[in-house]
Amino acid sequence: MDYPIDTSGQFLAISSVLTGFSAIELQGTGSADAIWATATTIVGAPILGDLLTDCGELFEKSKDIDALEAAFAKRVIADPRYGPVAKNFIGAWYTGVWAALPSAWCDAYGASGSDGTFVISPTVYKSGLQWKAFGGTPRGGVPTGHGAWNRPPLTPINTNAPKP
Amino acid sequence: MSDPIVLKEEYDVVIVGAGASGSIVAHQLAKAGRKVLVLEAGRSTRDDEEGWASNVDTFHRAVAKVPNSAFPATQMAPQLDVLQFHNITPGVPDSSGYAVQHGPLPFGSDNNRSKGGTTLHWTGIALRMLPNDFRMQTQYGVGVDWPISYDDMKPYYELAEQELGVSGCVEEYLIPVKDKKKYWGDYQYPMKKMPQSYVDLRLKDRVDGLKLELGGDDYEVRVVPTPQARNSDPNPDYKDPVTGKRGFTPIGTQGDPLRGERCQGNSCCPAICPSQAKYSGLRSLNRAIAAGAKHGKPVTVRCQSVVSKVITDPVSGRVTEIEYITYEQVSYPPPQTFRVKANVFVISAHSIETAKLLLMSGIGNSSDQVGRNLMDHPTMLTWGLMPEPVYPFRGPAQTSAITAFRDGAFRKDMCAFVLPIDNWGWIWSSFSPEAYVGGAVGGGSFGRKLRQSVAHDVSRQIALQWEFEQLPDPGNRVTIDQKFLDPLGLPRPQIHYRVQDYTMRSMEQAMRLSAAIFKKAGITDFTRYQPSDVVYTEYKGNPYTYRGCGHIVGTHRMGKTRVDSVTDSWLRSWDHQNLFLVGCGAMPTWGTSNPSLTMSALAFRAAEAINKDLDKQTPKPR
Ligand SMILES: Cc1cc2nc3c(=O)[nH]c(=O)nc-3n(C[C@H](O)[C@H](O)[C@H](O)COP(=O)(O)OP(=O)(O)OC[C@H]3O[C@@H](n4cnc5c(N)ncnc54)[C@H](O)[C@@H]3O)c2cc1C
Ligand code: SF4
Repeated sequence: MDYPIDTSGQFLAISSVLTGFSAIELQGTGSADAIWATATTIVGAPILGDLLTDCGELFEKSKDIDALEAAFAKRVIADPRYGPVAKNFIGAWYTGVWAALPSAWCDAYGASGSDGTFVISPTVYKSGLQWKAFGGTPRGGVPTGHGAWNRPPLTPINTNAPKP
Repeated sequence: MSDPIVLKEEYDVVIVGAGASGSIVAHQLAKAGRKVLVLEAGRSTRDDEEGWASNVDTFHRAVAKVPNSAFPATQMAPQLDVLQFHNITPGVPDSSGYAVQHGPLPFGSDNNRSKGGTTLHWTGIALRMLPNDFRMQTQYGVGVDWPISYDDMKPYYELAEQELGVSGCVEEYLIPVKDKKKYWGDYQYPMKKMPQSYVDLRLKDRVDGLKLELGGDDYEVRVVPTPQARNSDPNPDYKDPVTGKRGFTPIGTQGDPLRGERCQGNSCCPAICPSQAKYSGLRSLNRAIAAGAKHGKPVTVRCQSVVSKVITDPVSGRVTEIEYITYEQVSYPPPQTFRVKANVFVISAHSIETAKLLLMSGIGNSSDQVGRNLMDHPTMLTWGLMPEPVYPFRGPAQTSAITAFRDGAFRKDMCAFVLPIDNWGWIWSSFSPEAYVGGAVGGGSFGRKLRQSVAHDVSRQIALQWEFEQLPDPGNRVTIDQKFLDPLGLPRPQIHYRVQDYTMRSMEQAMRLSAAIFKKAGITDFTRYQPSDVVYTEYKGNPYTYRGCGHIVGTHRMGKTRVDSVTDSWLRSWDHQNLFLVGCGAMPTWGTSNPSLTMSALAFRAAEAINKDLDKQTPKPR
């Protein structure tokens, strides 16, 4: 599968595989830069650079999204170096929160003084994918209009997808 | 600390606490042209558009989005906070939070100490008490009777519903009251009912009409729209109780008549209502300030001023002065003590702080009831997944409830309860959706599978809140202990709290009733109570988890006689005739109504009595 050549494109591409949202949907949140900057400060450019490069290889070798997800499960999510970082990306995209990295990861790769559990920014919180996934309203973020809550959300949600 | 500076300026009335209670009293006094000083312990909350937006920002920056998130305490005026509560090891008081909790169970409700008070983060549910709630001893042989009845309170409820701006539908709000005509009269709420949520309507479809047995009687389940102090469409049939005029104009965002005149579905109540469509005490305080300006007697509000002592004349028993400490948020200049004189004093610092202030001052307690009979609505949750998506996490926190168990013959043996339906899925039971996502990702889920599971499960989440009545218990109390002081050197509250069998018996029944409702609705039950939950307890060998409801009631109850109560029914201290104790602490019992509407109605009564007292002293020119 195609892999962008620029860093921000690559970050969106891997985020899309990690979150289940398309790169366009992710770009629409406006959160990418803030999440990437947070990770760069805390995780550091060398590990993130390796992650992007290695993911490029997975894209290249996978013929479709099924194959790509399978490759990510093995080479990213289950990887001791990349797994906790990737999970933090998912958490940040969904909830707006950067979670303190696990102590075992820090033992191996070092802890940044900036690490901790915090909301990346009010905007990233409000654009969290968790709300878009099931059709909810971020708390205090998006006024839906008086009474809109007494019918299903305007944008249809595929809630009948078989439970994985 | 230096010697107190005595203020030259004297006032008709000094009010302690700028929450809803104090602000309503201030407004009524300012309208009568009184010179009023309001002393507030916490920050001077900004409510202009930009300032309010910055409070919303503070909320969004909080990782754990709890009621106090948008309005953090200052160091000098600490507040109770739900993140401070823990289960208590027997014999080891938990002093890790602001209050020292002696147990056996932790008191699980918080308050806010800033201008605007706890209504800065309340849910806004505004229920009148039922007639039997006022006569529990006579009707059911438990608790105590109020010195006044529902009929006495009715006109004050109408004033309170106007002040708070309540939306509701008299015809649809079904309650177990025999004579509905007498209960409501020809009353209509100021605004039409808040639209019921999709969650409510799907549940209603499935369970309305279900008959459930309790104490040998049958009760019918109906999901009905709840009256609440947030803006909905104005009701053209509403009749102003003062002027008799028809119609109502909702008030929303401070300084902007075009924003917040309807609840906009920000899904953020209780923590902070971004549009201010939900009432807060600031609304009444702003009205008080405007009324004062109109009468040329400005209402003065001083924040970061913690009242530390009430001083009385030993001969007359009247309160002569009040002492307060002002502080900065930096270490210099140091705190400074002041004293101020007035004709009448009102303490409206909320149940726990009001009781504390009386105990600290050694006054008002000839009945030995100050600080006692502390109550809450212990709130149990049952939760599950609906068989179809109901799309929670939209709209106000609650729009409907099941009200059948608010009264009945069972109250001889066990307590009444009400069941609000949560519009926000499992937020309260398990911090959804954040914790749902966290759990799934932690377990290795990602990508399309993760998105699908969030869509499938979270859209089906539903939770029932079971809010249980508590009876007055003299052992449930607030005390002080000079060993535990706050940063200003004032005693921190010591709390002793338990839940009586009268309440536990209903919790036990609730498990059965919940199972029946879930079965009828086709809800898959996910309710689990475990020892790590705060507050966890066991009854007859079964586990229960409940939470504080934010309802802090009963520490300076009113009554018929000075022997068993702290104030008369006008909230006047039996011991000090010019001292009024206004707030939820005044309520001797309170059934299943969220307390603040009744509290507000009582504030109107107190203001009426104060105005009459002051008129007697200085007759108005005719
Ligand atoms: C999460 C939550 C949800 C709630 N939902 C509902 C609901 O739906 N319906 C309902 O009826 N009720 C609800 N409540 C309860 C409601 O918020 C309170 O009953 C109400 O706000 C009490 O008002 P008050 O003015 O008496 O006290 P407060 O609003 O607490 O005001 C007291 C004021 O006194 C000040 N003060 C304290 N000590 C001093 C001192 N020593 N000197 C000077 N000032 C002092 C405080 O700073 C504060 O501003 C809820 C509460 C919470 C926490
Ligand atoms: S839903 Fe939103 S607009 Fe409505 S009262 Fe709650 S916070 Fe305010």
